[in-house]
Amino acid sequence: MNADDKLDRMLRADARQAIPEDGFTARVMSALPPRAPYRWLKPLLVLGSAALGSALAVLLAPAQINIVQGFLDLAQMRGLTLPGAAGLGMAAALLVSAIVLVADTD
Amino acid sequence: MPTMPAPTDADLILAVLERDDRRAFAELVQRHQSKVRTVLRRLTRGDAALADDLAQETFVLAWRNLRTFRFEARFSTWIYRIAFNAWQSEARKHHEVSLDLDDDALLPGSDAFAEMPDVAARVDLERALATLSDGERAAIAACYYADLSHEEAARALGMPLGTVKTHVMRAKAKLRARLSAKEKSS
Repeated sequence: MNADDKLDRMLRADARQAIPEDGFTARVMSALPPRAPYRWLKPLLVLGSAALGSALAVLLAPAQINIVQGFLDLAQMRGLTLPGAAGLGMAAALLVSAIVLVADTD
Repeated sequence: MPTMPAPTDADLILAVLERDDRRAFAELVQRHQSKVRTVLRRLTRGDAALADDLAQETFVLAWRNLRTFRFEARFSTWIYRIAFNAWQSEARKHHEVSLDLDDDALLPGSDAFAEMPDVAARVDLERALATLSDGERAAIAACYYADLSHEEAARALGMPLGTVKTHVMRAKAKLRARLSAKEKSS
């Protein structure tokens, strides 16, 4: 057996020695971050707030601002009318909420 | 009655990702802890306490980043990469300290060596490994202790393939010289 074989054999034999577990796994598990209690709660709060805000905006908007008309104006490319701007603002609020949620996902 | 085959690493990872299954992750830790701790003990020149701290940090980081695991690679290759990074960060923090270690401070972790049949030979090997440069020791740890191919070792260590091969070649030459000198003197 040449010196290279002997060294290889020694290194591989040394690598095969198992280290006793000795509670290592339990230590790792106790160092993990705590479980998130309700994973669905955060998206619900963010999107729910945005939806509630939008609903309130529709309900409390002055008479001349009709959100449905605003979306129709936008769809028909009638320029930026007051209802159109309100619709655009609502869509932007929902989009920002969605972006916040995506950015927050691990 | 047929027995259920043990779940693969990939099955366990999926269980963690889909169901936040901590028992599946504990099984992964149990499977890989010995190898990861051995590799880190060789990298830290036999400092068992530091190696175990780094091993713990490695598995916690693996848990946090499991979503980034790509199933093309073996889980072991991926975890060694995290372990090597943890060791490199630690070594950078205390570089002067590790360079100043003398031979007497390089005794191997006692619990790992106590049960070995040829203790003297292993102590010699551990001491010889400790005299290698960080790069050479990392290459030997990756290729022999983590059992990675040269290509996998290069990826795990973030080194070019040629550098890994050179480190392994030089490290083995140094180890042979040191061990044969030790044999002659005893």
